[in-house]
Amino acid sequence: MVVTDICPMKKILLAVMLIAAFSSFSQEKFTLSGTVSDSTKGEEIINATIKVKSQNVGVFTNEYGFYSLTLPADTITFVFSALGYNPREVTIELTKNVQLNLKLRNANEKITEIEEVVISAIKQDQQLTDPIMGVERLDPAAIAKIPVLLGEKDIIKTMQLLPGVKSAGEGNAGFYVRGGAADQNLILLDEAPVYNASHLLGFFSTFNSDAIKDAVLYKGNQPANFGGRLSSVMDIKMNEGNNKRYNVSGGIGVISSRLNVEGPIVKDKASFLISGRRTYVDLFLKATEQFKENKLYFYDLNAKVNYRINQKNRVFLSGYFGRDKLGLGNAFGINWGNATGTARWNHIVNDKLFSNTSVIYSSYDYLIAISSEDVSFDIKSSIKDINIKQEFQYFLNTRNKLRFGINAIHHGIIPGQISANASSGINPLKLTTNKSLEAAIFITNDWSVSEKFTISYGLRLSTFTLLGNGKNVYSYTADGDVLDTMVYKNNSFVKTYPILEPRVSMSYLYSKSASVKAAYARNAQYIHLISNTTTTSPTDLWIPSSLNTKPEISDQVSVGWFKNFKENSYELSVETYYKSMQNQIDYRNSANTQANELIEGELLYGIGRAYGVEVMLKKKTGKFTGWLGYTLSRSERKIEGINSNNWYAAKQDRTHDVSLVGIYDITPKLSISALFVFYTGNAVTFPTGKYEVGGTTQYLYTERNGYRMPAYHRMDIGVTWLRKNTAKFESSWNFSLYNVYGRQNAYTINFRQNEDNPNITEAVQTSLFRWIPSVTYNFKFK
Amino acid sequence: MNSFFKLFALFLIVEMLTSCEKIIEVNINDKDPQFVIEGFVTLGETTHRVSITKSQNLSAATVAPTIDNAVVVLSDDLGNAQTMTLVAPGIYEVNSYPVAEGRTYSLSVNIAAEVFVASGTMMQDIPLDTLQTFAFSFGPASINALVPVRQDLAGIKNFYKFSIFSNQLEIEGINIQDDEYNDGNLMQQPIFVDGVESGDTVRVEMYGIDNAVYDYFYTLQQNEAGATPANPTSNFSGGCLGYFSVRTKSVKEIIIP
Repeated sequence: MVVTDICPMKKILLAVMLIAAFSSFSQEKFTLSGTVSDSTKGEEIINATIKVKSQNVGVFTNEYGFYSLTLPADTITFVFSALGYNPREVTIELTKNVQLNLKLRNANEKITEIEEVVISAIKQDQQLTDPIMGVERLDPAAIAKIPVLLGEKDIIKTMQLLPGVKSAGEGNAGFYVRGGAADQNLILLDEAPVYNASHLLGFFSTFNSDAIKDAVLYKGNQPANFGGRLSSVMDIKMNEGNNKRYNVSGGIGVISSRLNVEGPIVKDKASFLISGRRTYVDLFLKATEQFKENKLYFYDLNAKVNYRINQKNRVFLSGYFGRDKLGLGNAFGINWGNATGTARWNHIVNDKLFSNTSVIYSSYDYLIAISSEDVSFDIKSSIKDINIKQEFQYFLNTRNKLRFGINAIHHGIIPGQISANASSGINPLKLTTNKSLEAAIFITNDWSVSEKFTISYGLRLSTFTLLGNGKNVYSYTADGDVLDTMVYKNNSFVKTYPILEPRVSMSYLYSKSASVKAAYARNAQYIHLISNTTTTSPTDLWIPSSLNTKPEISDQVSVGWFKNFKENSYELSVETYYKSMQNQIDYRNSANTQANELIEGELLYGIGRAYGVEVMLKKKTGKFTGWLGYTLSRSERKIEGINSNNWYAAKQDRTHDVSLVGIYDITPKLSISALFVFYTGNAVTFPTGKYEVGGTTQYLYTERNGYRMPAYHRMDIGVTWLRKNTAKFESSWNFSLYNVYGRQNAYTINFRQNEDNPNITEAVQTSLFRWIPSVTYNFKFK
Repeated sequence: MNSFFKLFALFLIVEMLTSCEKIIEVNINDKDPQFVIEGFVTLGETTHRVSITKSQNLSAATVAPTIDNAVVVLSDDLGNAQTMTLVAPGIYEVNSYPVAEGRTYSLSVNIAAEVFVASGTMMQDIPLDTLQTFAFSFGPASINALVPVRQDLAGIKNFYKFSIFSNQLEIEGINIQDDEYNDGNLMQQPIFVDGVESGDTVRVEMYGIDNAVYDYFYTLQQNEAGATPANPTSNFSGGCLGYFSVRTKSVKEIIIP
């Protein structure tokens, strides 16, 4: 064997394999493998624990409910458990390889038959032992009682109540993680990236809670199988659909309604799920004389089917389609939306090796149409991804779990295209499709070094290639003027960037109820969202890395302390992080970012840094549950050409951020909830002087983001009343009041001249949403 | 098109949600005053005017202070130079100074030994063919749109700025257009103006301006809604605010039906 022929990736792979194999020894061993699922719905349970009783040896089920555990031959009692389920003990004679597909009963279900074994006190100490830091897991069922704006429960808005995650503004579904920008979050729905995760100018997220099984947020320390964004990965998985019986459930709310239908196609083998949602603000508009010509609504649809071909093979098809429509009579209309589709094949190669192959499509587009008597034209823009992913999970032994694979994405971006009728006087314009290829190879291993020390380490090698499209490729001078123009043949390589992204995360359990963790991760981002408005806009544009725009890179180090109290019913965690960022993007003064072929000439590049401390105290069990989160942080940028090249606060820089969430179950059927949020205002640019030009007053600016918006705070309350719960039917009412004490939080601050004395300048604060009540009726036919 | 969207978003937020406005106190730092120079050379006219003022702190409640001791010289590329005279506080004028297409004009302003210089080239004249109007229904209300129709010159970048007067009173707002998507076409993009009613006499003054002045006003327009407001780039050297505009002019009037 010629060692020099081995590429670095292979070497690393070999090394990982060797380390992983190190702890195995030559006693005869057998494997217990299978899936863990919900006893009534048949849905696989993610992250269920399988442990050897009274030992600290075990595994978690993967995202498809699969587990595999290899142990020396013996008669062993295993404990199967999962959050929200009654645990079960199973004794197995492990003298050969055993397959066990086990069902767990939901803890809230009425027990109608005697359980084989019921264990009452189960340790839920995953927060202590999981080596991955900065991770938040949300169960849609658990958030149902938290009050929300207009009664539409929303997984992203609940995520915003966690430390390190900040809302992009009043009622906004955009969010910032650890000082990163809104476009630095990778939002995945069944592995498909969702490019614009908001409806109605950001007041709703695109995720219909009815269709969601699980949501996990990694705040920068994502394992190596994820990549492509700097700040975070929000991994959302859709329900599979009940494979035992049909269910129809839904909700009727003040401004929207939901309907969810699921059931078996072939019992225990195949099931489907269709979940839809539509708002009907426009129906109210129709009732008014003033607004009856206007359109304003969104809808979305989630659908999924899965088929278990046999014990070893299973296929899934899932999709999302959502659209927003706004219109003023026939004169003006804009609509936008995402479409995603995922086809997956799970294959159990053997009892230790699990394979998943995914083909993923994702698109986002918007269309603006304007028409009057003489003039009619429309503007279109879109991004389309085709994505192929092959991943293996190798359950090597009880101490090592390997995950490795490859991923390739083809991005096609149409930055803007104008079509117009001949008499409009507007020349049609087609900016050519930007094509690029993002590819990655990754390997990661979860290694339990000892009972106390676990480490997850991995490596991702990602590359990005800008492809030629037969049209001009520009390079720019420091002033943003075109320096050089070149033409590359279709699909030829214009520029390739390779980046090695190491990730490591570890946990040391220094007592039964406390652990310390440390992590380092490098992340790369190759596509960038150009948004030069104060709020998110559906017309914001994605651009690929190019000759001028380099990939964004971040390095994040974090350490944390985790402690559980009172039989694990309280969790306390303190995490601190420092993140440095390269090739960050900001805009030249008064940049033109719309339908501009030379858009990169409007951009400025520099570096960023973000650091902070996140404290979280959570109560997980009992009549009263909830959490208190606090974040102290900074996020700054240093960009050539802005504020004399000095460090300045990023827009999302907020010093303090507090959220308090409480839910109290008065009776099993009646619960009340409340939340309170407080945060420092965003950094903002205000004028420092004024002058007269063209007969009007103009403002004089000195520095970008040199001022602060006023502090934001608000309290919401809610009541959930479970009215009926029979074997066939369930119904509940949900009442909530947003902004209980009617605080006028600043949405924008503008300056204008006093009407009576134009020499006086006034600061005018606009605020939204005072005392928004809502009521939702939820039902379920079982 | 972003402005369309912003307008629409604003309309939504203002009209449909329970938004409310209030005047608040904002603590703003003081800022050293800067000179503000605004100068015009207009094709077809022989009197040209420059105004010079100073900027103030945001908290100031007085009119902008004027500069009355400047030495202002207008010259062209043929060497015709004339010193302007102070005709009113902060206002300097020159009379009997004819201008021509294709010629480059320079303005030099000397204020207590500080010198500011700008120049611009007179574009080819583009006259307004007609001025039309139509009612554009925008939500519940209808807005009167003005359509200044003219033939754009093909092959060169043209920039237009409009001043709109209703019954002799100027309507505030920056109205600019360029020919990026209409080069060489019959230009008829509408201008939406608030407060123009049926029966009003509306006068539109169209100016053919150069790229630098267009960018200046584009920045001011962007400042009204963008997240990165900034001072526009002046075409004066020497570090002052304001601009020097060498421009063509065409005027039409219409009575709103």
